[in-house]
Amino acid sequence: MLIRLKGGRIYDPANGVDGVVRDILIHDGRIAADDPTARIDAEYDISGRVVMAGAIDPHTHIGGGKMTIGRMMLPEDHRGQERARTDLTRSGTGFAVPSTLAAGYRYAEMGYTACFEPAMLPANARQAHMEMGDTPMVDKGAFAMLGSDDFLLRQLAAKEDFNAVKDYIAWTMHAAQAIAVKVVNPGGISAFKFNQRKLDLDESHVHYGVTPRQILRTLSQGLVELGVTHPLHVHGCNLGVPGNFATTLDTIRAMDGLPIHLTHIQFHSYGTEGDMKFSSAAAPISELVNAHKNVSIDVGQILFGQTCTASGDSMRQYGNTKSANPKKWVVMDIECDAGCGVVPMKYKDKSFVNALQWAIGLEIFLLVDDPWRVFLTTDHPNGAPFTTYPHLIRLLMDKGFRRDMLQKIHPDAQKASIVGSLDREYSLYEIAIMTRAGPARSLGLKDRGHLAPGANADVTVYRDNEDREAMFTTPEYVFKNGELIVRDGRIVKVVQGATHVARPEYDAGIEKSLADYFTRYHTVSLSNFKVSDEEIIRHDRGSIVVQPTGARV
Amino acid sequence: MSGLTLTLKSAPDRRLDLSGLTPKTLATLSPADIARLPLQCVAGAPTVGDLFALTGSTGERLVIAGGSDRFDFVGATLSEGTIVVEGAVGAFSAASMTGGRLEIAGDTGPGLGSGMRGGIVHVEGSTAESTGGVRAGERYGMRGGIIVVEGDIGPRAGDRMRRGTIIARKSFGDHAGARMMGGTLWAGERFGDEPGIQMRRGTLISPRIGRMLPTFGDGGVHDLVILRILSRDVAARLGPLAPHALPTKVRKFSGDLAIFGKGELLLTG
Repeated sequence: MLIRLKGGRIYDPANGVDGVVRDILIHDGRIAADDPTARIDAEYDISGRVVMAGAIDPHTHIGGGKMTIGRMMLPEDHRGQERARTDLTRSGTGFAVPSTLAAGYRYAEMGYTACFEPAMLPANARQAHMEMGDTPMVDKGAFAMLGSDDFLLRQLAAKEDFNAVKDYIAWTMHAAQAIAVKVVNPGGISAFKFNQRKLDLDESHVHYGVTPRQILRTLSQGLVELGVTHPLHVHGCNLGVPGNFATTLDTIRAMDGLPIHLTHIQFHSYGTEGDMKFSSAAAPISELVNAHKNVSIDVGQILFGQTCTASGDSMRQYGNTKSANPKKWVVMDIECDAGCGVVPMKYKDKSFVNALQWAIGLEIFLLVDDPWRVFLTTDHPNGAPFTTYPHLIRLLMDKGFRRDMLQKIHPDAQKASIVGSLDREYSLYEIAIMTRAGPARSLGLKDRGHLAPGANADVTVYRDNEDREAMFTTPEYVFKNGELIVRDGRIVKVVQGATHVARPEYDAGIEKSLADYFTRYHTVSLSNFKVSDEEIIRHDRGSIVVQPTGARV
Repeated sequence: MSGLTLTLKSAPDRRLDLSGLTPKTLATLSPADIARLPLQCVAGAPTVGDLFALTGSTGERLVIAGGSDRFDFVGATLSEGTIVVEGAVGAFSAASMTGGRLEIAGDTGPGLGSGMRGGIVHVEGSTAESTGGVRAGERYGMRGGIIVVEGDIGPRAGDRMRRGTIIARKSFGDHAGARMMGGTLWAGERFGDEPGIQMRRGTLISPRIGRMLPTFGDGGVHDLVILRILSRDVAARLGPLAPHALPTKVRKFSGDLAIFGKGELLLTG
């Protein structure tokens, strides 16, 4: 099967292509080198259209128990959001926490072809993979959560050999079928259960005597030595606490050049100035991020409206429960190895704090120079549902629109923010970096996120439109593995994406100490804890793609 | 007054969702567009045109000529204008309604005015259980507005109600005002058994009640100025629909003392 996309304007930053008009050839699901003599089976005339690789969301909560809790807790989130069955697609519902099927369909309808669940607790990995298996259309993968689990904290407390720690990290990635490792409030989730209500970078866990600094450095160093491409995915200490920017700056400095990805950094960039003791620290954060090439970030932009926050950070989510809207929440322990907090939230533009959060996110987007190190996320659904991405893109690309929106927010927040004075407008090329090339490179997806010959033919074609929100809401064509799946924002074919994993080498001898540990403390046996390939792919749930591990480019 | 009339052609063969039919949402649509609107969220759902014949033009009044206990969510998203139903309706009519007026000539199913925030609902028949009550999974029932029922109101009216007023010309069923947190239930004739069970705040007014809960304390006879204000306010809002003014002297019970005890049950008889 040979398909020609004729005359589109290509934005392919991974290969340095910025708005060049040329054809794209798709041969059996892969991009092929152009060959004018080839016999074409299908041709699409897309002259004047904007062509990018399929978009990749590197941080979106689409699987794992917390989404199910959110869905059960918020029947009001389903109402008015029903999606009827069609001949092709199945029914679904939900706005902030959509059902699995609805999430897959909506992502594809917006031109996304891969999504990554960032907070998969290894003990919950089976549930997370089943849920992602139920999410059609897109490729997916998940990050294993470490850092508050008893086994690692014991290892650190006992000052065990670093190789054993590395083996445990790698074993966990294999067992949970993960592509990367995330740490959430390092040590803090565990400390919460020992009655600590905060854990600063250099504060000791009362039981293990371990500090977040130690945990971060150990995990990051471990991942580097194991050759996992995605750097340690860090949800830092003190999320949402005014004044936490100092901790964030210290965290960046503490890494001494070790690679880290600071996720939803907006929630970690708060100062304590002003009458409300809440201010933007986007400037010092962005300055330090710009100066440290080992750091990448995603923003976790908030957008106004109803949503639901869901996080493994039970310590901080417990602190947020007083802001729950509607007034109900769940904060719980999971298998004594991590936590979970689900707190519904309604961000209001007339609230000073929410309005300033909105502005801080935009300030970070506009102040960080290198789009290769900042990814476009709302931390779905924590800052806003992923369906708001086109609106966010317009905010970044259109300063007139941004200023109009700024006029609508709380007047004190307008005054407290420098957003109005920032003239930067993102180009289509930079948007393609943030939503395609950057995440693909960071996650180590070799054949996704770009359009060079040999790449997987995940392609999105947009009608160029001054109104970028409209443009990115409804792509004209979306191809997945060379098949047309969406036309004019409507699904024309349902496909099942692959699950991406990374499998660093390790010494299987670690299973001996793990076996003892499982027998003594765990509710499941070691062999049942591990998720097999077969479990993920059976019943036509797609395939597994093992991304190579090795030294980071 | 300009308005659109939807005349029922034949009785529906399944439950239908009429929440999309309000004067405001139809105002910008052509008759052909209205006829194409689905009345259920499923593949191959019946449309307005399948069920109804359209006459008149869109305006601030929508008349549904004919009713059915399978018409769910009638006026559920009403914010302005008037909907008149010349018959019965099913479950959750006026749920989430924020304004305007809903006139129902027949009986209603359960959950009338659940989560309602404003506007006036007038029912000429009777209502089923949980009128102004809470929907599954939600925190609160009715949160504002006025419901007037000419007939009887079913059990558990005002369950987890927060604000607003429900008036029954005749009687309320058992457990009226269960788990209530605010608002007023006002019966013309009587409440059933155990009104106000687990109520935290709010006001229940009736000449008579069935079995009184043991966790309500007798506070004696009072002359409450607020009742005159309430009578006058309701008369101003409802006009000819308003009930007779309350007597000045009432016997007050406080409850539910097993929970919070700031609710009141006022016996006017």
